[in-house]
Amino acid sequence: MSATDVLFGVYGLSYRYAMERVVSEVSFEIRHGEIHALIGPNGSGKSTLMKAICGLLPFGTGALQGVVRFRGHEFLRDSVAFRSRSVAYVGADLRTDFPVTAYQTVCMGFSSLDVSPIHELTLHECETLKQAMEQCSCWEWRDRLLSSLSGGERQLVAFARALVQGALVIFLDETLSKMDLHHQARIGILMRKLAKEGRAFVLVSHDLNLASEWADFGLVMKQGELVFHGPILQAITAERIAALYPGAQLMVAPSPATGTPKVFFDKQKG
Amino acid sequence: MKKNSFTFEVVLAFSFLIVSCFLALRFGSVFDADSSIIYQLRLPRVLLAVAVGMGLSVAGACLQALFSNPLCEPYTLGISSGAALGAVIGTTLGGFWIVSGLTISAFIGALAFTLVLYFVSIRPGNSTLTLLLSGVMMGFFGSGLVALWMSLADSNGIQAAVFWLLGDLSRARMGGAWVTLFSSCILSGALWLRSRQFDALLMGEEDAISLGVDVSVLRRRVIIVVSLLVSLCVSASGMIGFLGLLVPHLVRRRVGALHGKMLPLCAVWGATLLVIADMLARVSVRPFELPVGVVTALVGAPVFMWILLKRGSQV
Amino acid sequence: MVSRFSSVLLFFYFFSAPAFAREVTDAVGVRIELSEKPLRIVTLAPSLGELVSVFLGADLARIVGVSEYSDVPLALKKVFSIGPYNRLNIERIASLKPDLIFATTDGNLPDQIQHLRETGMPVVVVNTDDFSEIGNSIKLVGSAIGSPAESEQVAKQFSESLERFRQAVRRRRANQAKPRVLLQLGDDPLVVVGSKTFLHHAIQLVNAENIYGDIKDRYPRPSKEDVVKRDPDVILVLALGADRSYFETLARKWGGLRNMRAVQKGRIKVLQADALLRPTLRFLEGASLLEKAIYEEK
Repeated sequence: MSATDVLFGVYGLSYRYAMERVVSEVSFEIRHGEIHALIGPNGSGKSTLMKAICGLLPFGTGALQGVVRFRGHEFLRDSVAFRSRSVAYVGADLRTDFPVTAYQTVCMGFSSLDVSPIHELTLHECETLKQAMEQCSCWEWRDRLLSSLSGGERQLVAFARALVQGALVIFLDETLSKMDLHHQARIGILMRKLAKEGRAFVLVSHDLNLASEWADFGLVMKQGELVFHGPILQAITAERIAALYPGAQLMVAPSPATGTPKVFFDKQKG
Repeated sequence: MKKNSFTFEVVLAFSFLIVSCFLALRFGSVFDADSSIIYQLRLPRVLLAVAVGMGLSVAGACLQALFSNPLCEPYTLGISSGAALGAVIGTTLGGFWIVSGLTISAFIGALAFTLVLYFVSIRPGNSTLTLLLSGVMMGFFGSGLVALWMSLADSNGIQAAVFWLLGDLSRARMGGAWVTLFSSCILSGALWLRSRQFDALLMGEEDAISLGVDVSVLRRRVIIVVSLLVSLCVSASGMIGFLGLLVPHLVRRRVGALHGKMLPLCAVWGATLLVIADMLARVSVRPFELPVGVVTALVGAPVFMWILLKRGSQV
Repeated sequence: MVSRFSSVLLFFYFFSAPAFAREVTDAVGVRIELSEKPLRIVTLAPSLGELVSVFLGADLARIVGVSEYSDVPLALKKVFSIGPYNRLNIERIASLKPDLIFATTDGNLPDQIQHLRETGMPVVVVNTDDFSEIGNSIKLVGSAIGSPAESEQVAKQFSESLERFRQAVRRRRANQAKPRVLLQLGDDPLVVVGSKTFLHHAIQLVNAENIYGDIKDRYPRPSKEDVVKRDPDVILVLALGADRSYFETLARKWGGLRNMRAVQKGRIKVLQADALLRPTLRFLEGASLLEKAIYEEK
């Protein structure tokens, strides 16, 4: 397993809702240790793309065209159970109307595939769970109900759960957006660490500065098409941003601390 | 949130069940009943109450998980309307179909509706919402047909159907009661084995898929089992409402939402509540007998409201 | 010696055998074994209580259970109630350990009758909704109780009285036109008497015509427009129970339809006739009240 092997590859992917093509011919590859940001304006198909390649949208009906490969073999042909151990999708909001605690939620990362209703976690699984929750700063409130947590706190729980699932590729759909800055920082550092260990991440974010801070690569989408895929410095440039968000006066400059490209509002005309 | 250990909860629930069964056998429309009355008449009713109470509560809990919606209950999918339709058609046919056949005609009606739902659930591209709406529509359709029949039918025929429709355990016979109890246990057990998958669904369908649960396959299988269970209960005893909605919520307050622990307790508490309701139905207005569905609604709803308001709406 | 001994044994055997001396076939064709003289009788409808009392005379203590609202004869009001006729309390019936139960085809739930039979209780089903079967019903009840000869007599008496009454009416009303009658039972929805019921036959007995006699339903629910179209000569509201005022309101409600013959001539009346609804020997009392109500001009 060399670092240059493709971990997750998308080739010629198109997705159609009813008659409308929402995603057209998207192709990209992700390797071990890479953190990608999927950016673009609302309606550009970011979420649809993510959900489609994770197998969350119905694909048997011909709505999906193209191939998705995980470590070389066709991902969407695998069973749902196998897929969940390879790729984890963390949605925009972890919500429930039922009284589930944070601990129970993270536990489901292990136990959803259990056949026995009464099997308890092994010692090793308990350790892994505790470690994941501590890394995500949610261990102290593990017995609180999910519905009593704030949006950002719930996202920490969701992230912990994705870690516990043991997936190599983790898709985060606006996951960091609601977190407090200190939690964002913690998760960002955690992501970097896990990436060094071999995992890959794809972040969807409408907040470009968040995306640029933590990601190495940028996938830029516009109207369902992938218009750029490359290093983040080249993904977020003044021209590209102006093309994506017409009408606003924006400028791009490197962050004084980390050198990553940041987007600022210029003095607005009109 | 989990205040007591699971063992304690199980022991508590079973104790209540045993005491209720004892009370229901001891008390009835007649004081000082002799053993032949208790054995021949009350015991089948208690057995049937246990079977139906268990079945409806477990079915309700599973539907709430399947649709990630705490407002679902066994009649959401319209199965009960199918059973009611079968029953009224049975009373019209007369003869055998009014007597032992009423259960069979109700079951056939329920199964017919189940079949339609199954075909809706296996069509690729049909979402869970489509299934839910189809069930609700079928419920309205079935009820509409029943109402039509009632407006046209002869008064005698209506009588027989009305008591059944309101929930009636008085038709219980020994053999049938044991069969229903046994079947109810098997079907509830089959659902319990899927606890982990129901747990994953509590957070919604997308989360469940991403956790590794094949939701469309699960939906298909669970619909069949739940529908069979509801068909069984409704054909044996008519429409006993409220339990399927109330019991899962009460049990979640005690042991949390994870189904491995919650479903068995739903079964025991559901059985207990229905046994008590049936006893109240027999005892409160002697020599008349209230339909047990009326008791569960009239007593259950205010009690539940009181619990909700007292401890907040934390489900 | 042996043969004499065995014949003595046989003699004693027959005398000590349980007194299931006879078999009766009820109105639905089921054969029931009964003792010579049933002492614990339960009736599952008020009309049956009435009918059985006729044969028991003073021996009413043999009736140990009656359905709710059994009030004729008055003594039955004090007897142990086994619930309303359309929702019998099986437990209560069983606790009485009856040796004879009378059920009716009109109102008792077939499933409950079967349940009683399954628990081993003897149930004789009597056909009380077919007018032409009154004679047979009387004979069935009487013979089940153990008074077959008396029942023959009562049945004969009844059909003779019926015939006498029919002839008398014909004579009395020979010169009058045959009135067309609407017999109303309820309002909202409007319920009237159709064919096949006792009430319909009562109307025919008094030489009148039931305007809904052509409808196969026993208690049809027509619209008011249909009634206006059929335009009866007389409208009778049948009052049940003690409260007359409700039924008088129903009668007054017709007053607005001035194009109806019955309204113009003021021939809308309330008829208190519980007797007409009970298919028993009091039927003729009710019939004569009916005759009076239909024919008198105001």
